[in-house]
Amino acid sequence: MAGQAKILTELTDLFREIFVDDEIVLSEETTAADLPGWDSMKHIEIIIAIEQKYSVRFSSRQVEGLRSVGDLVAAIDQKLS
Amino acid sequence: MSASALIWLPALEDGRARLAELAKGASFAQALELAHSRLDFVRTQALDQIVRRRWPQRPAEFAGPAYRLALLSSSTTGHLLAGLRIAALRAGIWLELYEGGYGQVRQELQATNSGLRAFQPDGVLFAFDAPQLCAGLSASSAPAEAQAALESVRGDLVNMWRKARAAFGCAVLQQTTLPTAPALLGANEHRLPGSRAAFVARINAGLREWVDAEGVDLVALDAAAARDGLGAWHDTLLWRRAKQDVHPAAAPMYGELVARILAARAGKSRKCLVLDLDNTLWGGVIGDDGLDGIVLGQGSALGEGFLAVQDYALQLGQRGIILAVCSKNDEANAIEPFEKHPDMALRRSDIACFVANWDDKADNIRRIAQRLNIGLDSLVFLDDNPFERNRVRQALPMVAVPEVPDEPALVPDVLAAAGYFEAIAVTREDRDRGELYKGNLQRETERERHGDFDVYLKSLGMRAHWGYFDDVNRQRIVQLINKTNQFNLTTRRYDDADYDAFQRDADIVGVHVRLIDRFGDNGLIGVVIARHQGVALILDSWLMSCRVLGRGVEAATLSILVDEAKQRGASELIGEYIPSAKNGMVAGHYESLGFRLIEEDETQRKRYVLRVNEYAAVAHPIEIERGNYGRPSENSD
Repeated sequence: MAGQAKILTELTDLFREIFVDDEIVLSEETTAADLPGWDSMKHIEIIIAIEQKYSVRFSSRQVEGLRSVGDLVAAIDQKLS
Repeated sequence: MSASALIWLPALEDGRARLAELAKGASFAQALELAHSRLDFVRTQALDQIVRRRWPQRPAEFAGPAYRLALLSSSTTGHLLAGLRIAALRAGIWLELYEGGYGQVRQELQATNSGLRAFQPDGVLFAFDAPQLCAGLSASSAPAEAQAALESVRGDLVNMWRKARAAFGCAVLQQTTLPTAPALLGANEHRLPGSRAAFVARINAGLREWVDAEGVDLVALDAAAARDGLGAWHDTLLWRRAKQDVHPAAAPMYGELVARILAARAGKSRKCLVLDLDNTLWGGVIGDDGLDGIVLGQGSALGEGFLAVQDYALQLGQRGIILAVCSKNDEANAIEPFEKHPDMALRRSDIACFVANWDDKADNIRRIAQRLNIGLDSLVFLDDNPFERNRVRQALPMVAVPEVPDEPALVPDVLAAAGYFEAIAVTREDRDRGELYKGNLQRETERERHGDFDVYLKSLGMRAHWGYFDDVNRQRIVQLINKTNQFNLTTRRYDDADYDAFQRDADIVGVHVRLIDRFGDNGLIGVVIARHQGVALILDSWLMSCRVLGRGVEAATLSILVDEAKQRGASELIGEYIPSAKNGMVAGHYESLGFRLIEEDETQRKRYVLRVNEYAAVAHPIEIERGNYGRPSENSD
């Protein structure tokens, strides 16, 4: 799972940029409830930023299932493999 | 890079670190510098978040005006606010936004206790998505039904524009609609009356006429989507997920499209394109390669590319943008292609100010602004050399310096995308400006011939044609009121609605002056707005185009005003000077015309009086005539 660990590090970086907060530490268990400001609008921003960064595209069905950082990491990993 | 990216702005290096510095305490200047770099939507959001946290109110070091814009949309707009605010910052405007309730446009306009009322906007932007406008249309609709639906949309829009204007006396902007509906017929979609795709196309075409009749400005999203591809502007999945009609990634460019309309209305559009020569207007170095060696014109793709740059500059010139040259060259070498190269589209006479020497380009650009009598913030500097671009950006941050692509053929697209010269109306003066500047060059030559300046002025045979505010000259007068910065005593801006009010008000004297001489018509160059109050005529606004500076127009205008005061039985003229960053040149205006200072406050705002019976005409070489074009408004007697 070296790939997933790398993605988690990259996501942490992306989240720090999006939330303008260098203190953010993500784990697979992190959910919207853990991060102030992670509302539905921010969620879309996160998804688009991920899609642009990894040149992938999530389907609506997938997006509806993406609720934690762990879900994001797994979805990216699946698209990239 | 997204197709809607801000391609004319320099890439941001160390963006993460720079944003972090700003969050921790870097100065507002750093925020402005970041705003002037190529930010994607994530960084635009981040910059906006930091700026709003650190500067909840407009900071003192930001000289631009504040502007209150209400966004009334049928779809989600929360993701667009950061793009709007940052683009406004870039355009020199501090934007306060109000987001109407989702799909609550009509209610907000109607209700007397709505948030919109409390907000008191300076401008309202209406935005409607295709599904919203196509409600009530069926694919089986007959032509008459589709026509009725179109009429109903028009009536509805016009009604909302008028309501907004009546309630707030504000500017009104209307977004064209993104063509998101899929086709039913195909290439000949227009033959299906009930087609949503065709209907939106008809609305967008119709809007071009509807807004002109109502004094509303368009934000042309349909044109942007045609250029960048609909996919750059709209994502069907995001529409389904979040009712976002505009793609979040396009938010920075969306903000640009809106902010530049506001900037144009505030007189902040740029007026002059300053061109480098070697490897900008032709390939190669004229001093080294010679007339036969430079690459220009038909025969090679590269040569045609450089010709395309020249052709675009020439067209800008023809529509009223002043062209200048700033090149590191010996002057004789630099001019040679303009006079002798058969493929040049630009000729020497198209260039209002030609500077070729070996001095620092920043110094030369300062000189160009001085000679043309325009502000540095009116200039755009086009140069292929990154060293020169950075030098000018650093020495003169108010000059716009676009990135220049390696392919000259792409330069016109970059200049157009940057929107530096955004304009909301084209007046006769704009189209004639090239001629005006050529006329100016002839006059300069005459001036050199005549040693004595007064003799020279008399030889011009100047005539001032004046008239009251009328409908014929409305567009030009409102334009002058909003873009004149230097010769402007009070810098008060008025829009079409104010102009209407002036025309109706019997106590308002609105005067415009046109100057004609033996070289031609200089156009409508002076405007005065005065209010007859008690025994005085109070000069609310007095402004003039700098082109005709130093020719006695001020004295001639004063004599018109004194006559007006006499006719109305007023015994004095009250003049006012409100200093701004740009109008220092008229600080002594009223003194020089014989007015006496009566009041001055701590902001150097001054009031002057001239008693009509003490008026001693200031000599001027201009013959004054009441113009026979346009009619006096009813308040003239």
